[in-house]
Amino acid sequence: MSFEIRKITDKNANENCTVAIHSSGLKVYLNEKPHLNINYAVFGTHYGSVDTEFSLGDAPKIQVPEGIAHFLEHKLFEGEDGDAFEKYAVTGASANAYTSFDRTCYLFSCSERFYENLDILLSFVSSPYFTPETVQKEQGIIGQEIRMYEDVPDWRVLFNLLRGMYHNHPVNVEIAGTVESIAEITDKTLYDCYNTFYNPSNMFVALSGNFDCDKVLEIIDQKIKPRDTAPINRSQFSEPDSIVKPYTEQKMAVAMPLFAFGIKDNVAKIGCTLKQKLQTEMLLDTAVGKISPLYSRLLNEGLINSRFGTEFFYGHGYSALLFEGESKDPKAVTELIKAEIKKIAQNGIDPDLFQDARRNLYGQQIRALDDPEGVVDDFLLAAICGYEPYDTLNVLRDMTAEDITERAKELDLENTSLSVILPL
Amino acid sequence: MTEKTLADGVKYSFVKTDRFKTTVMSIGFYLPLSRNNAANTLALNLMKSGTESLPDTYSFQRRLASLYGASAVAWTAKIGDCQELRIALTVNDDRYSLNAEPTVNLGSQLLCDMVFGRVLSDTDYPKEAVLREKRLLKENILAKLNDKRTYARNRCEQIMCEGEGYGLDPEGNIDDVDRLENADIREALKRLTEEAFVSVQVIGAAEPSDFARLLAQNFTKINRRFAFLPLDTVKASSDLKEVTEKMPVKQGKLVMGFKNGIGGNDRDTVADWIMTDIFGGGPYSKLFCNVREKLSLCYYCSARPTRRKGIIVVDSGVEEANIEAARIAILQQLSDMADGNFEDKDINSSKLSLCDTIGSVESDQNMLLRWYASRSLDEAPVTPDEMCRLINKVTREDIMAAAKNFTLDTIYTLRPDGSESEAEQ
Repeated sequence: MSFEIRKITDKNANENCTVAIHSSGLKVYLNEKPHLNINYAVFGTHYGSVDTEFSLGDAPKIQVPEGIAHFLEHKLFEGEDGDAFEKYAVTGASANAYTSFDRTCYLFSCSERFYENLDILLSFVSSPYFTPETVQKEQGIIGQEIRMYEDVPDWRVLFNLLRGMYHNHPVNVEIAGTVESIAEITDKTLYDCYNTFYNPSNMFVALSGNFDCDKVLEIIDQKIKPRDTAPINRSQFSEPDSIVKPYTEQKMAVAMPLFAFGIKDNVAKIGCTLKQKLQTEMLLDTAVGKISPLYSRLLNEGLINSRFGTEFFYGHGYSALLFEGESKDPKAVTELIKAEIKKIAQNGIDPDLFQDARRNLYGQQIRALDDPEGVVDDFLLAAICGYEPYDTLNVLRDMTAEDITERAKELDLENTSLSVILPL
Repeated sequence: MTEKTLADGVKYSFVKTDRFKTTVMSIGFYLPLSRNNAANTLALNLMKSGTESLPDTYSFQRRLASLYGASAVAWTAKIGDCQELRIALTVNDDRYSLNAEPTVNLGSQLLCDMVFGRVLSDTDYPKEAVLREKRLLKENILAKLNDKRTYARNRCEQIMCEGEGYGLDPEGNIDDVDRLENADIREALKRLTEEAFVSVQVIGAAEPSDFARLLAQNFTKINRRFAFLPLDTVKASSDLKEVTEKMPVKQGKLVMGFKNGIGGNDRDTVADWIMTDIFGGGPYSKLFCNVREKLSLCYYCSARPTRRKGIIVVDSGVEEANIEAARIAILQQLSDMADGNFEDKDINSSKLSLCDTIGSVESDQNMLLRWYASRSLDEAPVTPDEMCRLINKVTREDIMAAAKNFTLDTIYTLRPDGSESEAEQ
């Protein structure tokens, strides 16, 4: 077999994994859980909704319609020899797929017939079959999916914010595109995208469950063939550091105002290393997470409710701290969040709060490793961002309160945008 | 699994498994769905919000963090005509503590303090906590309008089961929450701890040594006056109810409720379950293959059965102009089920898929908890293995008979009101 294989063990979490790089360039992450009767598998590509402009090697740049990565995800389930769902119907697996800004992933979970299911997954994702007729049929279904999201206020408030923060970066465009943009998709544009991004050297397989590693690698070696390809040139987005507008408002059928607030990072300064990711998450936790004094204050003053949450939102050419929730006074919430981060940047963090925050995150990471889906999600981050599996626990152990303060100092608290959905 | 009775109407079970890194301890209270839903939910949420010694959010959340991010959750749901009020604490096992802290026992003591502290000391929650939790509950109830798919399903069930407990929101309504005062909260706390049927589940590598003893001790200090829960109301459909509402939305929602007037527990309804799954469960189902894939009418169109009530609800998101076409197509698929117009491979797909999912229940702590928690009211809850055996015994004739028993009871339609929701500014 043609793999470069490494074994990684985390003694504290009692976990291990195998990282294998296939001769085709495919990255493979395997986590054996012999005590479980469940398997979770993902075969994915580093290709998402933001990849609307690209070229292969010296070939001219291609621009494709918005929403095409997601459209391709739907269409790949249909093969010349039948539908992938029909094949899974014979094995009993639960299958699905999703497209995000930076990836498209095909997945299944099962308790029985794992190797057959893996074979189905590897086969259908490797066998594109698009015709004008099947493309047209899908436009009706995805059109309804787009309509559905137009009525989802959580989705609207987020994309209104992204349009308020990003001038040119396609992260400001809906993942599924629009009814108009998907009408421009043809079988040929689908093949262009497929042939560019569904090359094994741009793809990854991540599995967690009760299987034999050697047998899995043997199946992958048989199914995946190296393909000659020129390097993919992704767009270098000319995104200014500034935001587009500080405030966006829309009215919908909601009971109380929803908000999404973003602090835009200077992307040139943020490399999105694992340490930066964890520094940011700990900053979010200590500034306004459930364990912070501010969270308690916002809750008691009636300014947030149980749907408040934070996220470090980052990827190729974009990075921001996001805060989302419902509030009678979103502007007051954002002012208090900014003041708290400013305070941390100036005075640092209470050492006891830092210790609890670190312990909190550490415990949650340990717990996430129980869940095959959580393990695989970590592997996907490793594949796309270049992290080492299980490094989260090591980086957390070495984190200091000063690291968090430093991250707070990097933020430009004037470079923010607020999006609000108001009741009609 | 080991089971014992801790007090009158208080059952305790421990599932010993070394498959997980965590231990979950969960206490479920069961009461009839009624106008007390709001008070009961508020009492449960107050239990989840802290203890007498950790009465404010900040100190309580810090305590959870210090227990390596222990998670405290509470939820309210409907099981037949009963209200399920459940509180659960999940903690990492002691072997993952960095400084050898006995996290599981510390967690079990914390959960007991959360549940019994105020009842035993007969003290009120701080005013600030009551105001906060009342507001959070009201905003939770209000937010149900935001997700139009769930909103439309709930409306269909309300119309279908008007006058029955199941027709009520398990969290209550805004007016009821507004009226609640300290005396109501005290009464609700007593209802939960004294009158409710209580079902405790613990799932983990080692039984928390003190948990069952502490629970038993606390329940003996309480004047238990458990009364058996009423039987579920199960009705056959009578006159077709059709309700249309309008809202400023882009996509219409079509929800259709069917009844069989039989109901029952897992052993009685396994054929209904498979029939519903072939009709509108997985991607092999008739609704997915025909209404979505062949006719391209919807992104989602699926059917779900409700245990104990003899109900199936089909829901779909469709363009307003296609609502009638979708309604006809959905009814045609059910009629095909009753006429036997489905293949043996459809039966096999359904059985394989359901058994495959059930096969992983014991490998997922949350699924395992949900499995037994949702069956707390069953006389002898089926195990996952037994459920698979029951599924595999179902025949084509059983499925056709199940389909014939269901008749359309309610059609709820949510239509766009014609006004465009205001564009972003």
